[in-house]
Amino acid sequence: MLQIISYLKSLFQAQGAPVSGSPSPSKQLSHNLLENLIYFRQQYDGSSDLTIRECKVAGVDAAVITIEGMINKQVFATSVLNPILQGAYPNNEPENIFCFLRDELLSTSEQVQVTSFDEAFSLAMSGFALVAVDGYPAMLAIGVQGFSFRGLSEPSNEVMQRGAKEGFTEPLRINMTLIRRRMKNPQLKFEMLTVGSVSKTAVCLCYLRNMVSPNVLQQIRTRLNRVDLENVLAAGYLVPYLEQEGDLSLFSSVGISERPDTVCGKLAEGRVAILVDGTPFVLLVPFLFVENFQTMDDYTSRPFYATFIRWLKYFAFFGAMLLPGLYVAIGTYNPELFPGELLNKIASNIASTPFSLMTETLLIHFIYEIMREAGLRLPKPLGHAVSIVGGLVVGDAAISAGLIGATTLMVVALTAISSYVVPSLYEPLAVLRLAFILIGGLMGIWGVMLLFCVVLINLCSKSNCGIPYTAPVSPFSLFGMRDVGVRAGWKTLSKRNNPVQQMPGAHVEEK
Amino acid sequence: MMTEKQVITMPQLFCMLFISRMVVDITYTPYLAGGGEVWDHVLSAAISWILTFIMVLPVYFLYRRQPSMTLADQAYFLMGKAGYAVTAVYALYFLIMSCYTLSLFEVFVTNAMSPQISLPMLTLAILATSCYGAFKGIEALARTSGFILVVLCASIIFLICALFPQVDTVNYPPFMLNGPQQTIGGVLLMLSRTACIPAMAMLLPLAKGSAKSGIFVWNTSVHLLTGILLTLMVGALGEFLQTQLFPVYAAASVAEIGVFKRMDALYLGIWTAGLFLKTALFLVLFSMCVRRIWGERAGRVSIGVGGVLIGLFSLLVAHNRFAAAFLFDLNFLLWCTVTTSILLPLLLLVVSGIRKKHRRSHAQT
Repeated sequence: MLQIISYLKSLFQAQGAPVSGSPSPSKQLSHNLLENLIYFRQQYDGSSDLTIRECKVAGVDAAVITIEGMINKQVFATSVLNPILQGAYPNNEPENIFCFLRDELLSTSEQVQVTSFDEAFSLAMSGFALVAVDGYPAMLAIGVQGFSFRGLSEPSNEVMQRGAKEGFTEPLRINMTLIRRRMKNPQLKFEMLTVGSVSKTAVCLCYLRNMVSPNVLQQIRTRLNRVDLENVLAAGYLVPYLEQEGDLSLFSSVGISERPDTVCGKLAEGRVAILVDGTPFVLLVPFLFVENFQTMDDYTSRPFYATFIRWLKYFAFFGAMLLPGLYVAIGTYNPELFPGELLNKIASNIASTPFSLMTETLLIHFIYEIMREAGLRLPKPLGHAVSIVGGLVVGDAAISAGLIGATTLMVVALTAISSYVVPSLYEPLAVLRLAFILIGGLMGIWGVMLLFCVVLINLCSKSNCGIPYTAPVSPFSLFGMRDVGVRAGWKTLSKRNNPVQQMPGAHVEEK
Repeated sequence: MMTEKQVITMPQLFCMLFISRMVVDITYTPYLAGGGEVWDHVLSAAISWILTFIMVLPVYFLYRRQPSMTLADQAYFLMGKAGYAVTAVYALYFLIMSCYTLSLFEVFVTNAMSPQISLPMLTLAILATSCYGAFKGIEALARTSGFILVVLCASIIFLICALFPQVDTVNYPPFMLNGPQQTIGGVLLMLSRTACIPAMAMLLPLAKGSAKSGIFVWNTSVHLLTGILLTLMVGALGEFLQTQLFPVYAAASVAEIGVFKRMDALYLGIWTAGLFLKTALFLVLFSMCVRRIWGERAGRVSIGVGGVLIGLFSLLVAHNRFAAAFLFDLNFLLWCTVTTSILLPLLLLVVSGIRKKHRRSHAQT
């Protein structure tokens, strides 16, 4: 009796006291059910979604703990609560009751026995029901997850013409299933980790055991263990931690995909996929520069067409990066390099506008980026309105008013469209384009060339997990070029495995 | 003893050296060889091709003696602290050659391409970029050279295709019409610009693969391309070439294929890219020498210091006739190259031979 009073007292004290941080990892569950329940309530501080159903089984106190909204109530009632309440227990020994529940009564496939509060909290918040019996220092976690989530839908950023229309969604387990369904191979392994000291976000490493380099895998594990963030709310939070240390490049050596088929293709090449709970994007490490130009459609199209499209992308990328800068440089310093007829038109355009060529190009570039950003964040119907206002009204009116030249507008528009040909490189392209315009206007062609060299050396100095970012172009591998310079036919592509760790210039020392 | 880790491949090394050499060749100016008939310089290219093979022998034998040690390491190993003097000569040579190439570029930009450009800004931009490249290291430079090589080769092939239809055989006079002086001057000019041999002495131990075939391909391709370019330029431009300070630029300006006219931009582009790579590579070599003498930390700082020194000296060359005459003097450059390509490696080979003999006689006694 005295014990109960003291617990009640501590309960009332706890309600007024500030909530302490998370329990220490070593905090173990007690024999006493009441003590465990009080600790639970203390930690959740009366949170309305914590549900504790107390009951008696074979005359012994028991409780089932769940988090509202995280479980499927029907499954919970039929598979957990009803069997517990209606079970014919052998005796009233707590240990026997617990073992009977665990081994005979409860028929769910996912059962975990937990002995610490940390594990119990984590599982409860992942949609498990926790069953506790007074007098036994453990809880039985039963998988009855059933929270609502966005259904599978077509990926919005990686649209494909002839492939699957299924993209990743937010729950981690669903994403794992999407990969497993396409890769029915026992070599495929999922490895769970937790990152974020506050959010405790579940992260899953996914790889093919026979393809991945143990060294690369170990490096990725180490980097993830070094994540010192409090909250990890999206996959993008982890990208800087997965890049090479001290990397300040504009380009990223961590790939992002929202397509399960693309991820499976990358796993088959020895890469590691990192799934983050709550994010419909999967991170891929290591990632090469040339992979930005490869899409799943390349592999469903005929080789000649895929090769043509790939070269189109290369030209579009370099055009989008260099064209405005070269236009400004030549127009400002060496107009004699333009063909005669074109020079006349450009000269008349420049003469009729109040700004210098560099200012004019920068201005249009900025206006375009503002309109793009506005169109992206606004609701879809309004986004269209922004495009119409921006494209027709602002553009046409500015030319008619003589504020900007038609040639300049055309150059910026052309490069803007070109930059969408390789969407994964849009971010570096937008910044680099701006830099090239500035340098072209200030220094001329040789300035543009120098900046291009800086970009090139920056790309070439990058590597991730010992694999050069620019492989297999430089360091060169003829075999690797079968899916870079051209998209060879499947007979050539499937001739032999080409894991990423065997790229030329890779410094991956196998253990 | 300091042994270098092999971080690049032989094709990458010779790719860098090819670009470093070609960037000098496209700035070929007969004025530096005493002016006169360019046609005779085709013959000079053939002779220079053979002489380069001979010039490379001491460095090659030195490399074969100890494949994991750079020339600077070997100098220290064979001569102790006196070896630092040899390393210092190389460090100075790499700075002088970078300065020479940069000054030529400055002369070109301020005389031919953009006379209104600010010279200090031009120098600063090039050196800042090159220092960045050098900081990124030899591996990054080797990878970058792959891309630049593609652009360089495509541009040269384009130029060759553009010039070929304009060739008129009337423009070819007999060889050595005015005596052998022009040919000899051309040979000396070409040999004096072969800064790649001292670079090889420092870089061969860092590369994996066969040095022998690399040297052959590099030397042959450099001289063959030079010969082809000179032949086409003479055939296409004839007497007009005599009046041009930079003949390849002049040829690029008049070259056209269909709608593609005025290849000046292309020429300037490849020259800038090549110049960047060469300066960055020579800054890396300079820092390797400094690191050998003063240690790791000094080696890191030396890239910036080297950049500043090159910049100051090239600006001095641009503003001071005496300095320009000194740097562009054929004899001075030739002696620098001969010292670093032949004399010093030979000296090290001799010292190595004497030490070996000593050790043998010690062992016998």
